[in-house]
Amino acid sequence: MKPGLARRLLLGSVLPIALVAAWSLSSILELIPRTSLPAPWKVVEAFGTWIFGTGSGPYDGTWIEAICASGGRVLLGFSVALVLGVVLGVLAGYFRPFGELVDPFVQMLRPIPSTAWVPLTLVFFGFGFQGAVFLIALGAFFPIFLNTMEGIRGVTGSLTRVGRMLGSNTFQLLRHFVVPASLPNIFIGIRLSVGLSWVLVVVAEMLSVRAGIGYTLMDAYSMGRYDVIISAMITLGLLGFLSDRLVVIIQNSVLKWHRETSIQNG
Amino acid sequence: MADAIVTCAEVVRTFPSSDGTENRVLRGLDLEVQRGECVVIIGPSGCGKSTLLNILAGFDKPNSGTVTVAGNPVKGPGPDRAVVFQDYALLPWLTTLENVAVGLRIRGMRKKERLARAQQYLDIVGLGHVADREVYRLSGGMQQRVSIARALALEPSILLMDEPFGALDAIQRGIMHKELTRIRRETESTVLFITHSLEEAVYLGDRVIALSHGTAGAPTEVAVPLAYPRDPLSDEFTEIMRQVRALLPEEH
Repeated sequence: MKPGLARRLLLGSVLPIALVAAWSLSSILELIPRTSLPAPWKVVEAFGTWIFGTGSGPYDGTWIEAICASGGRVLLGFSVALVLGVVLGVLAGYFRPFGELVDPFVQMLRPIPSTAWVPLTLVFFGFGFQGAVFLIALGAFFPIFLNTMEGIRGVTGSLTRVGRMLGSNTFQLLRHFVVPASLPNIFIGIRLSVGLSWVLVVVAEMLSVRAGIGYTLMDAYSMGRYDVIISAMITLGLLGFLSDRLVVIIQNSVLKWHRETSIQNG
Repeated sequence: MADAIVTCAEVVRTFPSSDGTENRVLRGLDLEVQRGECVVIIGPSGCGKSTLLNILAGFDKPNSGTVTVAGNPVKGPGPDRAVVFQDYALLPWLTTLENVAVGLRIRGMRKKERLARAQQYLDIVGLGHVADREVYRLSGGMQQRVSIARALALEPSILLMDEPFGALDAIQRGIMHKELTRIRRETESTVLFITHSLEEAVYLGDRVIALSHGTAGAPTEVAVPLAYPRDPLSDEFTEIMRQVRALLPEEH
């Protein structure tokens, strides 16, 4: 183990442990009514039932199902945003007239909060899978598009000169020189969008879709099952964290050169 | 002459300057570079030496005049005129070997074939042993040798070198001068080399050409009839240095 790791783990766990301790204490002393905030052990119990339960309760054993429902929407919506964001971002960043055509339009749409799209989404896609995917794809598109476009525009002239000198046509120039050089920026967009995708899937599920973690959350609220609500929140935090880690792992292997040539490691 | 690789005739290049007048950097330049020759171009800043190189590389176009390389008019950048940049301009996401092979990949050469050829040119620049290393881990001098290998692998008509050793320290630069001389002998390359160092010019060049601001016609030049290895401290060397210095305006 690296010498810094033990210290980081120790320091990093101080605040979470303090929170759970304060929560336990307030439950024992009933500082907050148990009907509003269930005790930590009640949440653990409800979480366990949600994951492993085989009984007839409304949430028993539906955890995996809910994760798959939400995860599938996130995966599809994010993938659509990734493809569109990178392709349009590259084109808008590299070809000036196309950028001038597309960029102002995107900048006009961007300030509209994704949540404001919910009513129209319902009208066009209905209460279901497609609507959620649309909402996620829409919201996750902007960070990827913008960061890709800026990355492409920031590629140094000497790199494109090298590409031209080596005989590249425009496609080869993008494929071998400009896009690889923009990958650090593209990954910034991807990371932002992955986080956003989880926010938007919950929004979609709370408002319209009848399955998934966000749906469970809202359903548990209407049933007064605060232990399930907290379990769902923890699940979302965990999923968001894990998907971000996954992106970082991919980023670190793809962008090893960038990490090792950047200033802080130079 | 029949064996001229580069022929520039009456090349004019002007840029609009900030006060609205025209900045006439080249006013009808004539220049020939023969096959196998190393021509070094010197001159004060703004004299048009980089402009000339950019025109030959195809990155820039003259306002008028003709530029041909190996008999073909220059229309744009291309692998027959390989450029070695001052900042190396290597691709940090590729290994050293892949950096040398990238131009061959663009040409559509098969992987096995192109890596073999890249290895051959890495060997020529003395870096065969670092083929699999990350290119950004190499020293500045080694990175510039990779960039030279990348240019050589294209088997170009001419190597265009734009102050390639300007970013190196004195020791590395000295090593690179010897290396370039050796590489040139082994590959029989034709080189057009830009520098602002008189010593570098006399050390490397078969001819040293001085551009002044707005060169018209054939520029002034000094032939360097010294055999290799050249000794910068010898009397002949310093005498030629003196002749070259006389080509330049006082402030250089």
